[in-house]
Parts: sequence; structure tokens; C-alpha cells
Amino acid sequence: MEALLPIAVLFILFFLNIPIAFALMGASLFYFVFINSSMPIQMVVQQFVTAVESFPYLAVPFFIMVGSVMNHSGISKALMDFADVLVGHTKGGLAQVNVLLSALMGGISGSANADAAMQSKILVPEMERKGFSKPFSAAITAASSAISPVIPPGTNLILYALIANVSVGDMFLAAYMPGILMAVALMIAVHIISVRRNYQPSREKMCSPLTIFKQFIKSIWALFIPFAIIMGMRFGVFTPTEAGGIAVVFAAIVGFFVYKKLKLEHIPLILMDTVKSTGAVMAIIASAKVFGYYLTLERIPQMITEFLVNMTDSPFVLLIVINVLLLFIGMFIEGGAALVILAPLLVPAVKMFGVDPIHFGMIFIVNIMIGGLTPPFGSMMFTVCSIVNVKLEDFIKEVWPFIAALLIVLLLVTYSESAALFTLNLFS
Amino acid sequence: KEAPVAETTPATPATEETTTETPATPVEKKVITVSTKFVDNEQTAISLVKVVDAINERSGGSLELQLFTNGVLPIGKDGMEQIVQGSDWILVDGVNFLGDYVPDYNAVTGPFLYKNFDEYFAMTKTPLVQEMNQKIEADYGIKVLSLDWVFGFRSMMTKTPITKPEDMKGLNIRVPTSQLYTYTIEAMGGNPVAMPYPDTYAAIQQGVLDGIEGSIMTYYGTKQYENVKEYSLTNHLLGVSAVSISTKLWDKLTEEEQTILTEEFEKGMQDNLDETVKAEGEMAELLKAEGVTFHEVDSDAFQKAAAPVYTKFENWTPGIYESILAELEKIKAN
Amino acid sequence: MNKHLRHIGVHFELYLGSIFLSITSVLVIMNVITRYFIQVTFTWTEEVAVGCFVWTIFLGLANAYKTKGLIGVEVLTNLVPEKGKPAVVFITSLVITVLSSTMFYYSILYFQGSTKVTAALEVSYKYIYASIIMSFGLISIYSIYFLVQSFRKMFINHDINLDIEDDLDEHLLEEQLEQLTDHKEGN
Ligand code: NA
Ligand code: NA
Repeated sequence: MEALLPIAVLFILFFLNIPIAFALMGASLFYFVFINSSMPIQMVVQQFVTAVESFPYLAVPFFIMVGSVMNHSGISKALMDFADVLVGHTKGGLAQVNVLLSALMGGISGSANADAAMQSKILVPEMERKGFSKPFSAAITAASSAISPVIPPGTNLILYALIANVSVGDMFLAAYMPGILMAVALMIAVHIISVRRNYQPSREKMCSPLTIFKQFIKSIWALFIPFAIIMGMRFGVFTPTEAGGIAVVFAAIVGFFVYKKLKLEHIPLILMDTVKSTGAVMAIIASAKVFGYYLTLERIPQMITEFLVNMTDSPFVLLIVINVLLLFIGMFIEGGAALVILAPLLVPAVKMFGVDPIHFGMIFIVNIMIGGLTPPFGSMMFTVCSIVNVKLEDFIKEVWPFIAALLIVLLLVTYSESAALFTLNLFS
Repeated sequence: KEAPVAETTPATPATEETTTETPATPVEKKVITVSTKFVDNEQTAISLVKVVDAINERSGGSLELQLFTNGVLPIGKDGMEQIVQGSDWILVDGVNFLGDYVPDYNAVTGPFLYKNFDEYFAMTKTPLVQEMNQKIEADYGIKVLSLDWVFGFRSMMTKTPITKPEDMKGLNIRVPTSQLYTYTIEAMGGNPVAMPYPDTYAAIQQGVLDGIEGSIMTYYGTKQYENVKEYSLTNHLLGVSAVSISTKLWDKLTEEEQTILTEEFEKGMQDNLDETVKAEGEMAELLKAEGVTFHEVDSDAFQKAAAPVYTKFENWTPGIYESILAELEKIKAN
Repeated sequence: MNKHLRHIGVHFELYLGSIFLSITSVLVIMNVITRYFIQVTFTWTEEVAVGCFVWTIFLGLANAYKTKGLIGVEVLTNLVPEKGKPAVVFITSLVITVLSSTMFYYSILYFQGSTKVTAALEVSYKYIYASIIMSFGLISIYSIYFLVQSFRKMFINHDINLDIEDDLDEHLLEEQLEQLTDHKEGN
């Protein structure tokens, strides 16, 4: 039992509001100081730093930077216009724009919270003017922000690929399908609610194909750059890390010369923003690696696998159990952190059951995004509610149909490997 | 200034322990982590499992070695640092990682020295290499238990056959990030391209690479025969692991435990060697069945071409190449 | 204090980190270009890129701690009433002071004992590992600062502001909103 004490320490530190990176570090130090003295403690530092001393991880700051560059490039505007032209005329037009915009923005940014914050400030006030209720507007903004990290590129997709030892390119290609499914599910939910409540379109009639085409040409850079980069990776033209670097350069060129919104004075801001986010993300990776050493030394991954194998021999049951576990943990821990801590434990176990690791990645990523919407501690929920000033209980009343829609997607992705890996197989 | 002391008084604490311990008192179990990069189905890992089991059994519970394969715990430079800083740790990894501390190890495993494993084994027993073992122990606290865990000679896998240095002209060959490999391929006539091994399969298909170098096991195991069908037996470098342990830990062991460790790792080395030789033969047959052609090369021409490599490393002892060749002459004369 | 100086003071880790990040970016992009256009790869670029990346991470970490940019599980803060918040900050700061100063101390020990040299350039890893010492040193200082401030807020002066103002995120969001509202007016 002594071997499990560090896990107890971890939870105590979580509860004390210690940032996740420090909580993992504290639990690991506890282990190497008090339980296993086979290693001088300075070697904990070695493991901490060597965890992040790796070229593949360099893709992380690059894809964070792409999001930041694109936000300054006028690309968000191009995407918003495109979304409006496409779905603005339908019932509940702005709510549909809200969903579609998150899906399109997903192609450039990986942060659900940034997406939720931006759209809370831009779209929610406008939705209110058009007669949507404030809690409904907040709910759809938060729910749709869950799409952004699933549509590639995204940091979580990269991290999962590195942890599960699968190709980043495959992971990216595969993730389009769950991302699209999430968008479709939310749009159906929005449609049903809008018809019932008679929410109005944002523009009077459908745009002509010519208008749509013109707007498409204006937005083409924003729409196709990410896809081109993913295909480049897929066909081995460059590594994920290099793809990230190239994406930054392309986004900057588009921002400077095509949309002409990016200015030299934005560059320091973009760099600083990237440095800070990189530090926050990679510190969790580093600490999780040290914590992982404790788990390895105590052979805890084997214990978990054994436990699961003894519990059931059906991948069907296994995946339900894991999904429920992840949804529960997702209520408390931010998705990326849950990924870094739990994926190394769960991937070997599901592989034993013959589950494809990329398929499992899809399940994992969709699942942890749902956690961000649920009480008591969903991060997108808090972001949106605090920006638009909505009470949690009002938010929850409006968000549950959307959570239900996303859970249906999760079930579909879980139990239909061909649906989960549709885009991957399409391009293989 | 700690290390020389460790060298002069290694046996004292160990003997004290043996004399004070009576058989009746329960011995405190010493847990030792054994870390290696090899994955479970590779021969080195398979032999290590046997070694670990044998040691745990034979020590009657006083030692508990725990093997961690596949690099899940620190290996390479980091594994070596665990030893230097005194962890309860045994590392089984490339001899080149010893070369980070005593660079002459890299000369001993340099390009085009040995025609077979036995010549190399004889070399590791020479005073020349034994002195290196003493130096690394005294200066860095790394005790070398074995230098002889071989996993095969490295040769060329390419699209066109290679028999002489001229055939390597203009060929882009993947190398690991290592000066020795870079210089060796350069000296052989090729263009070294450093990239991570998993990227090579696609790189060959795109034409970025013309070939790779590696052992017959790697060739078969990573399915490179689907890409390149010519295997030229340059035997340019020897793939071999060292077994290293921290002197801090070594000195804590009883003499009996030390003997058990030494003997069992020796047995494991032999097992690893026998199985490797057997497996290489089987792999060669399998590769031939896949349409791979094997080519003998003009070893003397390559050896001559590669001689300048031995002058490229400032931190190698001047004249080390000549000393090695002299020892080799003696070995071959026997 | 001068606004600009204050900004640099609050974000000096980010300024320094930006330099490292720029070097990393230039090297990675340069490597792609040289490989495809002149078929040359430099083995040292990857090493330098990774070294600068590590510096970027640990400078970013120190700043993210200082400006509350690290994610945590906000159970306790959501449970306690407004009046109890300084006590929560006091407890977390105390724990982080212990952790970061422990890591600071062992970082120094590790640095001193480190024997690793890089594969291509064969330079000591110490140039990279100095970043952890700096990071945990800074975090120790900041956590002690938060510890003292929260103590003062609890017992001496209730008006103290516990946060180090971070205008960066605000700034970025404003920029973006500006671009989008431009568009709305233009419509
Ligand atoms: Na949205
Ligand atoms: Na994304």
C-alpha cells in the first residue's frame, strides 16, 4: 500500500489548489525522498528536464504560435464571414455561426478556452441583440469551443501521438472526423432548439452561390493552410516539428501580405504569449514524466492492465469503463493534464485488448473535451460564465442538450472504429 | 577527489558486512534497477531476463534486480549519469556512452577493426582496454562489468550494391546523431544524413536517402528490405553494449554478491552471443527469401579509407589507433 | 513607476524566452530550407534548437507561475468564501515555496554533478540545465512574495492586491476583438 501513497499526496495537492505541474512534482518528490531511496534526489531533476529535452516536443510551441499568429492575421475575420455566409440564413443563424466558427477556427488554434473567451466577447452580445437568451448563448459558445482542440492541428493531438507512439500526421488526419461529427451534432441540437423557440436567422435569405464562392476565395488561405501542412506531414515531406515551423511562416506571410492585418509590433506579443503557454504546457509534461517514473518503478501500469484484464475480456466493456472514468476525471482536471497523466497508463492496457491506439486517441480527445463543459469544475464553463456573467445554474439548464449531443458523438466514436478513423482511412 | 578513495578501499566495507552478518538475521534486500534500451523481444533483453532471474535466485533474496526494458527508465547518457551520481543502478547500453567519459572507448569500437566477434573479445581483455576500465572507475565511479554484449556488426542497406569505397560516392546514408558515424560514412565515401531512425523508411521512399546502415536484425526487424534490397557486408562498426554499475553500489555489495553479479552477467553475455549468432543466420535466410542480395566487400580498401577517422577526435589519446592495431596484430598471431 | 519599465519587469522572463524561441524557430525553419534546396543538414541545429527550447520552457514556467497562468484544480478556491481566499493563497504559496526551493537545491546539485555532453557539438549540458536553476530560483522568490503578501492581507492590511497584474492576455484578446469589430462596422 505504501507504493500508492504518492497518488494520495497528488490528490491532496490537487485539492489544495496547487497547479497540476507542481502537484505532480510534489507527489514524485514525496516518493523519491520517503519511499524509494535507490536514487539520489538530484536525479529527479534529471528526469524532469530530460523529459522535455526532445525535438518532437518542439512541435508544441510552434502550433501554439500558429494559433497566436493567425489570430493577429485577420484570419478569424475571414473565417467568421465565411461561417456567416454559409449558415447565417438558417433558424438560429448566429448560434449556427457560433458552432461553425469554432470548427473553422479549430483549423488554426488548439485552445478551447481562447476560442470560448473570444466568442463570448464577440458573438454572445450579438446573439443577445438577435433575441437569443443569454444562458443559451453562453451554453452554445462553451459547447462549441470543445470542437477547436479536436479539429487539427492541436496540442492535445500532438501530445497524445507522442505519448502513444503513433504518427502525429495520422493523429491529425484521423481527428477531422470526430471534430466534424461534434460540429454536426451541435448544429442539429441548435436547429431543434431554435425551431422550437423560434430563434431568428442572422441574415434574411440564403446567400447566392456566387457570394459564397467569393467569400470562400477570400478565406481560402485560412481554410487550406492547415490541411496542406497536415498532408505534407502525412507524406513525409517534413516532420511534425518542421510542419509547425512552416505553419508559423505561412500564417505570418498570409497575415502580412494577404489580409494585411499582421504588423511587426505584434511579433513580440506573439512570441511572449507563446513562451508563457509553452512553459505552462511543458511543465506538466516534465512533471508527469517524473511521476511516470514512480509509476514505472512500482509497476503500476502493469497492475492497472492486470486489473482491467481480470475485470473483463471485452473491449466493449473496457471502453465503457474507461469512458466513464475519463468523464468523471474530466469534471475535475483540465483535459490536457488528464491526457498527459492518464494516457501512458491506459494506452498499453487498451492495446492488450486489440484497440487501435489512434482510435483510442480519438475517444480520449473527444472525452476530455466534454469534461470542460460539465460542473463542478469545467474550464470552458468557467471561462464563458465569468465573461458573459451568467449564473452557473442557468448555464447548466441550457448546456445539457449540447452535452447530450456530444456524448452521442463520443459513443459513436467509441463503438465504431470505422467512423472514428474515417478521414484517416480515406487518405491512406 | 572522492573517486580515488573508492578505488583504493573497495573491499573494506564489503568484508565488514560479510563478517558482521550472521545467517540467522534476515538480510536486508538490496533492490537494483537494471535499465536497457532493448525491447522485450530483442536478444539482449531476453538474455538479461535470464541474468536477473539467476542473480535473484542465487543471492537467496539478498539481491533483487528489477529489469526495465525498452528505455522506460533512463538509458544512454542519462542512464550513465545515474551511475556516476551513485544510483542503485545497472545500465546495459552502447559502449559509446562510456566514450563520453573515457573517449578512447570509441577508438576501440572504431570503424573497420574486427573481422569477427572473437577478435573484439580478445581486445577487451588486453591491458590497453583494462586500463581504460580502471580509469573510468577511478575518475568517474563507473565500474564496467562487461564490454562484450554484442548485437551484431553494422553494414550497409542500399538500393545499389557496394563492394568498394567508390560505390558509396554521392549516396545519402542515414546516421545517428554521432560524430563517429558521421566521419565513418564520410570516410567510406558516402554523404551522412543525421535523422531519427523511424523517419528513414519514408525518407528512402521519397529518395531523400539512398540507404541506411545497421545490423541484420535491424534490417529485418524494421522491414527495410521492402525498400532496399542490397545488403553489403561492410561490417564497418560493431554494435556492442557495456554493462556498467556505480562503484558506490558495488562497494556496498558483499564479496559473494559481487561474484554472483560478475559470473551471471558473464553467463548472460555468452547466452546473448550464442543466440545472436544463431539469429543472424536465421535472419539472413529470411532476408534472402524476401529477395535481399548479400555482398562481400573489399574490406582492406575500406579499412584504408577509414584510417583518417582515427585522427579526427582531439580527445582520443594520440597514437591510440597504432596501439589498437598493435594489439590486434598480437591477437591475430595467436 | 514607468509603465514600460513595469511591463518589462513583470515579463522579463518572456522577453528573454522570446529570444530563445526566436533562435529555435529560425534554426528549425533553416534546416527545412537547407535540406530541400541544398541537400545539406546540420547536425548541430537540432541540438541548439532543443537547448533553446528548454530555456524557453523554464522561463515561461516561471512567468506563468508569477502571473497565475498555470492550470490547477480549483476545488478549494471555489469552496471557500471570498474572505478565506488569502488563506488559500497562503497555503498554496507555502507548499510551492517548499517544492520549488527543494527543486532549486537539487537542481544545483544536479548541475554540479552533471557529466553529460551533447551528441553533435560535444558541449556540456550544463548550459541547458542552468535554466532549471534559474526557473526554480525565480519561482521560490515569487512564492515567498505571495506567502508574505497573503499573510499581510490576512492579518495586517486587507486591501493588498495579491495578483501580479498580467496585461498580456488582455492585450492579445483586445487586439483580436479590434480586428473583428472593424469587420462588423465595415459590414
Ligand atoms: Na463557438
Ligand atoms: Na485545433
